[in-house]
Amino acid sequence: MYQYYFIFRSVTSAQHSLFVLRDYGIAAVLVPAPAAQSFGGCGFALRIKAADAYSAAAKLRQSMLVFQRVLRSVDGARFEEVAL
Amino acid sequence: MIYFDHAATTMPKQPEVIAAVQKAMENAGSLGRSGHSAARLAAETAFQCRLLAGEMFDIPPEQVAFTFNTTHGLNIAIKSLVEPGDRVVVSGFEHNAVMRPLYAIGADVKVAGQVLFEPEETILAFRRAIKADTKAVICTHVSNVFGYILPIEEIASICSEREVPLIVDAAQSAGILPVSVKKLRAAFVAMPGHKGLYGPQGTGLLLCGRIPRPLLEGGTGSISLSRDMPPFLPDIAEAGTQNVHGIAGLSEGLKIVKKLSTAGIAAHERDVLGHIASALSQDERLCVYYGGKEKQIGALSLTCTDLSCEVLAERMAVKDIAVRSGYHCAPLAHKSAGTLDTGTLRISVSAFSTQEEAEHLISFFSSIKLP
Repeated sequence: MYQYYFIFRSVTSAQHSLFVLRDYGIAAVLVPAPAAQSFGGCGFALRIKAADAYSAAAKLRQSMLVFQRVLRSVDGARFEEVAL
Repeated sequence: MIYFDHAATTMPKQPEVIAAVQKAMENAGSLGRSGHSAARLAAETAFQCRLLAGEMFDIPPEQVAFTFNTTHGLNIAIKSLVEPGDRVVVSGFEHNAVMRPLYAIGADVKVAGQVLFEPEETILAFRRAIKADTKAVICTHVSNVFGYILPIEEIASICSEREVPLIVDAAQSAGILPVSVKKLRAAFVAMPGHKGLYGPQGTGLLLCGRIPRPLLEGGTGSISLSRDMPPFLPDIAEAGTQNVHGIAGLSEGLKIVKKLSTAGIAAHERDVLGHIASALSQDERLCVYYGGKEKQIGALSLTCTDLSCEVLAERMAVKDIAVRSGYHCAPLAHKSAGTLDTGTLRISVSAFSTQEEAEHLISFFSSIKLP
């Protein structure tokens, strides 16, 4: 099953998004962004189940919260960028 | 102890603040560095505090930067806006946290509004002093020495009209008077966490109406491959490990203020301070600087004709009454008020000061025998 990683530029942006998604009943886990996949190295991501990914993207856009990109991974090792 | 030195730091800290600090010390990791549960707790703790502060001071949480104290925040703000030789307008009641950075930079400092408890005069003075080439206006909201409430909304309005950035020192007003970054359209508002917000020492907030320059460069946990600091808030202002333990306590302090409300706290402080001022004003040996409930809050200064402020404060300390004497790190305020020769003895209150404590203080003054 795919897991989706919403990449943010900072822990504050990611945490803000996590709070908003929580309000909408969408579960997310704050994790460090895969360094090679983040812009400029480091950064934070929200890991979200595949079933919630589209809804999460919509809610974040609606709340004017900016994520840099979305990656998906099957096993947490290989990532591919996706457009939501 | 009968504690009337709340303008220096409020104490004792409330049990919920102490408990939150302890819990964070036991469970919270470093903010923005890792993904384990301790680091996630740190991230949640920090963001909760930004949210509470953002709601209280009318600013998005990302624009709330953590500092170690007001001085730290003011240094970031001032050094973001002021270059050597720049014309800067300040009030006549500024703290050294404002004046020393300006002197160090070599700014061309113009002082406006030196008359105590005369807000109309203060407004006129700012209107006269702010010119087209003014690079910044810096104004304390409440004098830490005299408790004088400066007309910050009107000064902010003049700054907006003339498109001059405003820095507000809210060291003595945050948590007591309404402070809205949006309404003031301030470039920066600096405040402590450990005074009117009832958090621990070593905490402060810089509310950023614009992107500051970094005062410190270092690790932020973001865009680590870049040689430069991240160009976005709050990371640009927060190099190095943050004081998450203190921030946890500050969140609880903010909740206390929210629960009591700034209006409630202000009314209470005005009552206690007004009572003290009325009683001490009867004593002919004392010169009490009191401007009335509308123009003053939090702090009251006095001088004594027969005794130095330091000796008076020492006698009070012997009786376990805590006040502060001297210049209170604000010689400009004393120059403005005419107390530069003596300094003052300062009595300052909090939301938790009681009328019983006030009576105790008043009875001390009644009992002292002066030479």
